[in-house]
Amino acid sequence: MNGQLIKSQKKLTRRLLELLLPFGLLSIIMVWIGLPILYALLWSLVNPEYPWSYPDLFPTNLSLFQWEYVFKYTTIVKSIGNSFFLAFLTTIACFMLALPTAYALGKRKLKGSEFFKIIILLPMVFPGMAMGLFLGRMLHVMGVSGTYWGVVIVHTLVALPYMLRILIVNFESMPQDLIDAASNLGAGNWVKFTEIYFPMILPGLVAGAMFTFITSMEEFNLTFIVGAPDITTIPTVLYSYLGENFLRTRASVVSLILLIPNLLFLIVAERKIKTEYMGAALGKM
Amino acid sequence: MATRLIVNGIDKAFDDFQALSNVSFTIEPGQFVTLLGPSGCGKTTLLRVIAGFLEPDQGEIFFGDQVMNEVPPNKRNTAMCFQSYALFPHKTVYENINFGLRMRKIKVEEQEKRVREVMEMVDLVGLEHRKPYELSGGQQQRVALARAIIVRPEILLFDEPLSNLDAKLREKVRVDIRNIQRSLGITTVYVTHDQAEALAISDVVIAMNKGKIVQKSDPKTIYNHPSTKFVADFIGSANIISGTCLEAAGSTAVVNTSLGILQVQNTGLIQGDTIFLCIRPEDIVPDVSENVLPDQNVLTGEVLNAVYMGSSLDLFIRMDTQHIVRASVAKDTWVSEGSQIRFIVHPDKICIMKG
Repeated sequence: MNGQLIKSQKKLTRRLLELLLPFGLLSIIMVWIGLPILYALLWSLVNPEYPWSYPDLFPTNLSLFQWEYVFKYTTIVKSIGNSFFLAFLTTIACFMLALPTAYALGKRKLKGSEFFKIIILLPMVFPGMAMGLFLGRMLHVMGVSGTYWGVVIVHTLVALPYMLRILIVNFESMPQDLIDAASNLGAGNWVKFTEIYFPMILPGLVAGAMFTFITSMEEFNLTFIVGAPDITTIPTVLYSYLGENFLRTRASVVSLILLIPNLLFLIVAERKIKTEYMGAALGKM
Repeated sequence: MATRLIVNGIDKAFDDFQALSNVSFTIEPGQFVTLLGPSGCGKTTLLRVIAGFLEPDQGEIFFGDQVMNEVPPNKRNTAMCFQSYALFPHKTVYENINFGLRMRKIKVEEQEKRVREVMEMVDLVGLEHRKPYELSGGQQQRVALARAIIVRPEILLFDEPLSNLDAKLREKVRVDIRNIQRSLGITTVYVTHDQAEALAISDVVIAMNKGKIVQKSDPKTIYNHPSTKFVADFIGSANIISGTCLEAAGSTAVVNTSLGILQVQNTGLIQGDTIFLCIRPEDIVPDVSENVLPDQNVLTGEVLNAVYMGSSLDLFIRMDTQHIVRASVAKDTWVSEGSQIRFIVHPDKICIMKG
């Protein structure tokens, strides 16, 4: 009798948990991500002639004035172009650098590869500003500051660990038997690369490219130090509205401009690339 | 047509571990040879050396009269079935099977014809467009087999191909493999640690231990006349007892063992020799008659356990010397635990091994 009661109570608790957990997660996501976006959206639509102030819960008048202004009178269009261009080049550069490195560390198991793997992750934990100051000076001496080359170099430096990490795991989890089977059946190095290695690391490559692209799109510190004032990207434009001449409405517009491509990229990637690819990227093959 | 495989004085070490030491043997064209041994005995290493994935430290591999040492794996005309199957996960069954033909630049029509043939042979028709993960273990195994035989290799290599299948399927597939190999007449090296599999499938069994070849014989010989204690113990079950030769004259010898005095065949023994004897459990025959035959070994002991195995009854018999002997008798023999039993071991059935 008593046992049954406890059992049914336990069942009830579990049901409640099953309901509460997704609900809780959803509300956290809403508060953490949804609200700021909504807030930014509202601010970007405020009509400057009808300021949004206490105690109004919502702006009294909406207009596209700030959007028009940002597109007409600032460098945003060029910056968007710059951002995409730089992100594209960075992704290519990361790919070219990471592929052989990850192969060497993940598949060849070179001596000291554990040590190298830690070294590779260092840029991820290094404060961007601290790194930027010295790096900026170095690139200046090299004569590439203020050029696309310079910015691509620093973006690559920051984004490379993500790409490397994912590709190393991919290479490590690739069974040697598959490679041996291919050569056993007559495949040379080129075929082994194009038909075995490449398709098998493709999921990791896509995930790595996504991380790289987004990292490059959002990088401010190093872009500013190395690129400014000649090369502006969406984040540097955004930061220019966050300084002393703080313009919340305009900053909202730019932050949405920065957010939209990233969100679209994520959604498209999610749709196009099956979730198994993401799983593979995390090392489960 | 088929190729002779010669392995000559192969040494291979990994750091401090000597995986193979001075391994030599010859496999005649079209023979099915099993490398049998416990894990770590070097059998898989040897297979990988033959395939070219590993370079030996010493010695040569010949296919026919051609030295293969410098030939990379993709230029050696071998085909291997891996324990993990190693099917390409992103390719369909058809693409997997066709891979070797494509690498050999065979004409497309010919490719299609041969894939169809081989898929019929291994009973995979209709699964051409599946991916490996959509197949059962047995089907995956057959794809691996098809992918290997389709290239018509000089040497077919198997690395424990059946260890991931359940017992019933294993017995069926090993017969299939044997039949296919026989019909194609390809020289075959088959690695396994399963002694029953080795006996069932091979023309020749090569028993290996600690990187060395211990015995190379046909299945019957290796089972009935194991040359060492290791082989006797590893293949089948065996009563292994030590003994000293008391008398050797003519065709029989008399040996003092822990079971008592036994008559054995004289295989050139000299009085005073210390030897090991191997008696297979099924060669121990319970004796119900009262008459003692002079040329038989008649022994008595107490039945400690009688274990019913289905196809036989296994007895554990304690001798007066406290030594325990295992006997495998007909399943409907009536024996009670704790009773005395008289049994016969024919001298012919006692195998003599040196050390």
